[in-house]
Amino acid sequence: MRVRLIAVLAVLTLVAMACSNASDTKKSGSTSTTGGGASSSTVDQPGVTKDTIRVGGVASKTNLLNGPYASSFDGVNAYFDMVNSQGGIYGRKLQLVSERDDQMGQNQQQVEALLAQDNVFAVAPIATILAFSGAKPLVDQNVPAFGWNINDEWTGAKNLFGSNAGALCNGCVSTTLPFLAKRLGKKKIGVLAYNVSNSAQCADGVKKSFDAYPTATVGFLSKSLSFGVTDFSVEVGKMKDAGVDFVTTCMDTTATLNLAKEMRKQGMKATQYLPNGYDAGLISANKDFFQGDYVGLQFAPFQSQPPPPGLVQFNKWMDKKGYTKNETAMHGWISAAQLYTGLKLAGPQFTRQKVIDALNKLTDYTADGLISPRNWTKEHNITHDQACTAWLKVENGKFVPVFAVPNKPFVCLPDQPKTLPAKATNV
Amino acid sequence: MQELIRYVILGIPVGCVFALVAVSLVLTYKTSGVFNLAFGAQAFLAAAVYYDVHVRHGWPIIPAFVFVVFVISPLLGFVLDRGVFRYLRGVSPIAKLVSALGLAVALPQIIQIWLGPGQAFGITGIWWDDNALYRFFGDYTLDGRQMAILVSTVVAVLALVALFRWTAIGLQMRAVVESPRLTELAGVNADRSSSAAWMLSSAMAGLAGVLLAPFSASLNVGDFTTLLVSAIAAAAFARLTNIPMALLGGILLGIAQQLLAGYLPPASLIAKDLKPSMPFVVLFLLLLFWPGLRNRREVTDPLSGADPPPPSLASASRSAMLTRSTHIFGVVFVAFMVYVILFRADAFWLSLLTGTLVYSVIFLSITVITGMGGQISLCQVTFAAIGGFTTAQLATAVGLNVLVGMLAGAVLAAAVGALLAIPVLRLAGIYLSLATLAFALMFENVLVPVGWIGGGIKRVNVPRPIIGPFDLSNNKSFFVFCLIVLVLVSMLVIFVRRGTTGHYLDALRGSETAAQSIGINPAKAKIVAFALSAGIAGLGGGLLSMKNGIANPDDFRFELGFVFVVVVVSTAARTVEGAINAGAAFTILPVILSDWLGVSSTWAFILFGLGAIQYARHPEGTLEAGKRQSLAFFQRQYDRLAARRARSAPDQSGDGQSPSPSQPLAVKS
Repeated sequence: MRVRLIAVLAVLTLVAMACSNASDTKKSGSTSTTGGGASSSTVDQPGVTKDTIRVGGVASKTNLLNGPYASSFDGVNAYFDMVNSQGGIYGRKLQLVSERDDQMGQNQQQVEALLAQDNVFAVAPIATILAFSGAKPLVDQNVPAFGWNINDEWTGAKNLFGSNAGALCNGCVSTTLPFLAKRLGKKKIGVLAYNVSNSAQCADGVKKSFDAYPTATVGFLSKSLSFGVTDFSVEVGKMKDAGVDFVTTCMDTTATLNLAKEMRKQGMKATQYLPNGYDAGLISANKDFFQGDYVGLQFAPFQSQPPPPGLVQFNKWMDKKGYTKNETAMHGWISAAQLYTGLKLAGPQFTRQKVIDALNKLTDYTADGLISPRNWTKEHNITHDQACTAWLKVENGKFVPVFAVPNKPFVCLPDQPKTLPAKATNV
Repeated sequence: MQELIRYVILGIPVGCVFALVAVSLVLTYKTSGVFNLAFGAQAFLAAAVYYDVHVRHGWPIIPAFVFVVFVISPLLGFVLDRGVFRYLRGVSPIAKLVSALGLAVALPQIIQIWLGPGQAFGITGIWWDDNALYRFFGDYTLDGRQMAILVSTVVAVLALVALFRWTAIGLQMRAVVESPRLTELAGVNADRSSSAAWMLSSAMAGLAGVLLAPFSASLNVGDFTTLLVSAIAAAAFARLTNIPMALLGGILLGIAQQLLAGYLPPASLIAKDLKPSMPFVVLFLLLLFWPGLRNRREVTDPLSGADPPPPSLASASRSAMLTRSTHIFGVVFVAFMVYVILFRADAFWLSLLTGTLVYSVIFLSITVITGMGGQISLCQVTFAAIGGFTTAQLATAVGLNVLVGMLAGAVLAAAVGALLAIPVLRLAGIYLSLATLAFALMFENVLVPVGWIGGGIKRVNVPRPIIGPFDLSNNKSFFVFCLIVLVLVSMLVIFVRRGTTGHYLDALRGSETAAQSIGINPAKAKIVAFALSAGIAGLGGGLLSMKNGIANPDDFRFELGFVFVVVVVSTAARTVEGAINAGAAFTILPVILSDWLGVSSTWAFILFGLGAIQYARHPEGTLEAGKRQSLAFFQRQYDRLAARRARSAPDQSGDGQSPSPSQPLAVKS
């Protein structure tokens, strides 16, 4: 009986706390006045108080697939520190009040908690390893949200702003790899993918891209690898027989590493494109296997010379807090930068809708040079004005920018042109 | 021909990886009677410690290897034996499987917390140079990692065969598995043998962890789990008892994979579906048709007949007055909760508690198959997926009313459950559980990626229905709808439990032979249980998709099937309220931990896992055990009160005797 009594009391306490949280939500969403004397103005928005704009994020911090995306919070925190050190915005500090863990697939629940429990004005960062089911409540409630777009759910939603792109199309024709193959003089392509939907569709996209822009031919295509595979002996043997000299995968780093080891074992001389390879720890620990391979990024690499202004600030504020600088943290930083830009453009009497509308009018947003010019009037659709990539080559366990010119780290091509242009432009 | 030979030779090192895991599984089963689904977790622990001492702290390879394989891993085995498995000797293999499942869920989370955030790169193997290449027969090359596995597997197999064939301790370890009590009558120290067995099998898991870790770019428990489920087929090939056969099974599996990779067109649909699911198809077929496994019954302790029967449900032994009070309290409590949720809770809590109702429906399917049927099914999440995807596809692609889609999903899941039951019911205990696991893996690998089933890359949207004046896209209306569904399903489960099928299943759980002797058809009763359980899970899957607005394959991953079983059996598998408690624990506990207590919500999985480890001591579940204790406490208070009243009341019976307070006023049958 005591146990039951305790259980009942616990549940009642739980309900009481839930109720009090609900009333808190109303309170902090009420009208507030900005500080700062003459420019004071009222803002009646969830998560906005007279001195704070509350922001919350969701990322895969703990998960079975080893997606370590927690550092995206560091990027947001560092950016907010920078803004707050300059007095914040409209007399309010930007505050990352909640860093939620989606544990691989719980992001819808976590987003609901951000909106109802944490009472945030906007959501940043978002970095979810699997499907972004949290997109639904964000779209339903028209909340401005910013994050690393690696899932299909971002496409078409006008309030979701990816740090790497507005919308992705995994299986679409792209100029990116045909361009790389052409620049490297490669003739035969090998494509390897898992049998899971995302990966297999990515492989189809690569095949279609080389069909559309035949800078090289696909000599080997496999979409039948099981997740977790460590042996590629048969696949490498077949690629070697087919004369493949460039390999691209739609797989994780364990697979690309084992593939590289098998290629070395069988004496196959081919360059690998590493889709998830921008990780200094991975590359330095396996420098013999990734030597000469390539990585493509949608943001200015840490190795950019000279670094764009956004990268200078990123380095300064990340170092100040002692955070680790990596790809995920950069996506957090860009997410925060986009939110700040939206708030600035929306004006002192900002609303969620005004922030969204203001961002969607931008035609060449670059986050201080961290990303290639982004046209948010079109970016939510899968066809864009241009496709830009910053290229890096692995040399002696380090990343070296290639194809870039000073102050222009990105190589851009029109998106889905009829034929591959003879020359790319640097921006 | 040359090509064939090439693929066969290439398959041997791959097969050795499978063989190493399979040999370890067989060793554990042989020496402890546990089909160790926690093997991957144990190997992960060893790999994590090896990474810590070798990479983080810079120990040389040999001391690091010796420390992990010969100190830490046996120590873990010793702790597991003393803390968990010693108490499981003589219990059913199902109870042992559940405890291993609990460990499989809890242990990786503990290790992950210990390892901390960030990626564990740069693990090197035990060979003096991982990257050294060794050429055989001209064209074939092995690297240091493969050489280490090949040599270690062969040495381990030879050593284990020698141990079991020529040493007394080998014989004693096997004897203790069959009957510790008989073994002790023969003068053998069962405790010491059991500890030795667990230390040995844990050392094997440690060896596997250290040898396999260099195959991953960064340390990840998922890689070990994937390998474990793939290698089960090789262990089944060895009938879970024969170590050389496990080696052979592993190598054959490796060769078969290379042959498929070699001969099937790599971009073809059949290669895409068949190749990754081959180990699971093989496992399923082996379980159904391998002569060594067909109709196999687990060894049971000859003295187990002297054990008392499992306790009846607490609710079956309480007094009528207490039952009435409980029902009244329950109704008032539920009404109060519904009022609070509908009128006071915010959107998050409304959504969370709707999730509680939905998962409670899914968990009721485990109440049927495990609580009533006495079987552990590891594919309940698959039946939920069938319901979820059917609901989504019928509503979105076909344009049917989503309620019709949900019911069709439940019916389809029930039909698949019945069809699956027909072949697998020849199996018993863990073999049946393994068959359900194989089915779950086949479904996930072959059918979920298909666009018209799982939706492919585009998740299929699921609308909410409008019923008369009630638009269920309103979250409060949907909560009430889920509550009604839960009540109906609960009533169905209670109805079945109290009806003929429930009594048949009770009888079958007690003794299948005895039940058959009184005319009960076990196959029919079990097929009904399987179909009903699958149908309920399918209904829950449809509800889940409707709640989330999409049919998301991530909600139906096979690993969740482990967690579902662990959560339900750690609360109470035999009662409806147990399933509801499990639904509440599954959805609310992580939130309490992370949002209120400020600790990682992964602790919830650790608690569930540790709860499941208690299964053998409390097969009725920890909450049910607590309920029994609280009922006993209440009954004592009631008796005391009745006695006091009797003493103070004048004697009206005329015989000078008061009614005995220790007797309940009425006992529910």
